[in-house]
Amino acid sequence: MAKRENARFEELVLPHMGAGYNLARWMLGDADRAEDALQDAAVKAFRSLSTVRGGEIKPWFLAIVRNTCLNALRAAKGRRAFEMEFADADPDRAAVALGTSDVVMESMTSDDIQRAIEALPAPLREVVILRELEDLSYREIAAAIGIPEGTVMSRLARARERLASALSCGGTA
Amino acid sequence: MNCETARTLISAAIDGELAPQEQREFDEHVSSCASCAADLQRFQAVSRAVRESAPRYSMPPGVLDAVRVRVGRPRPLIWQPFGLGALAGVALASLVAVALISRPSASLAEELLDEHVRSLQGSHLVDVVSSDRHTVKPWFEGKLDFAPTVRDFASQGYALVGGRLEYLDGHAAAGLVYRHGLHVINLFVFSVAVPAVPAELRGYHFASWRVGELQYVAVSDTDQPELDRLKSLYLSPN
Repeated sequence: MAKRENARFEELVLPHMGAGYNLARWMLGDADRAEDALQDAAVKAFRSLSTVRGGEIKPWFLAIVRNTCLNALRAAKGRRAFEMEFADADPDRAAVALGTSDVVMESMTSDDIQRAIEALPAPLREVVILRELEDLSYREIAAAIGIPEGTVMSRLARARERLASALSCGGTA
Repeated sequence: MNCETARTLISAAIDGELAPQEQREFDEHVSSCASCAADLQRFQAVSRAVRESAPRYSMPPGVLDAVRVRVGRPRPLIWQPFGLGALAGVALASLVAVALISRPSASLAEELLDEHVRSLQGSHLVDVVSSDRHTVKPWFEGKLDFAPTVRDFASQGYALVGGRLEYLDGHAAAGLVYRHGLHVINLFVFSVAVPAVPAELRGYHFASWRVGELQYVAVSDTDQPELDRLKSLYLSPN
């Protein structure tokens, strides 16, 4: 019995540990804390794996990782600071303020890009990570975060707009 | 399709998330609208830059094995009134002081045991390293809504190593780490009453007590008397 649980865990959950680590590392900004959160999330996933039937394991597991990270952030920052960080509201219409279109990105370094992503509000940062680095579909991202697909789309649009501005300024400023 | 609609769809278009018909209309619009075409390029450039240059952090080696160890233990045997006999290898002790609102004790014990095992697996034994209780205690200020009692019993063989912030069962707690011979002892302190924990769970021992408003729970795979001794030291007058 226990063996079968462990085999399921190996087969279904462990393949997504890399994605979980990357998400935790971006959310927490620290390698040790990311590893702690990932381990805790994996143990939680193991315990509730028997309740999952079919469905998609990856968004389910990433949702657990994300919640574990949110708990860690809440504990570390205090509730008020935490809520402010995640309060960046969702004007669901992404009023895409299109400014100058001539993006100069040739001079960008990967450090610039990393900093620009880190500077995004947490709710925008996580959709960027899940979409661009983990290649999740809108449906999977919606499941992992617990928001509608339309919100995934508008958050991604806003995130990209912010990144475009940050990066096109970064080269010259 | 007009510009306003096209703009809201740019992101979805480059992610391949538009329905075929919508995608055709979008493409048609962009092919005849320089402004939207430029915006599309701009988003594509951002997306490409992130994919190509943003770090995708790699999981450190050893994490999978650490997780396998943590889930590989037999599932709850529930606590048993007898010991498992001599435990080979390095014995490790964890002392956890906890004050929580009433919860099922088995899950609390599981959680404390997890924290204990995790703390021994490398990176996160302590957040503040100090054998000086006057350093450890102030470190918790502002991180907890209570002031844990921090005592050092180095001369009695229980040396304070440091402290750690814990978040257990929805409550912030202080984690204090002691060394007793080869044993590591984690002591977690909570500010509200916690349910009784079993004396033993999967070969680890627990001891719990209360001082004033603070509740303490000890977890350990060392012998019970070793934990009980720490308990009596904590209960002794300052």
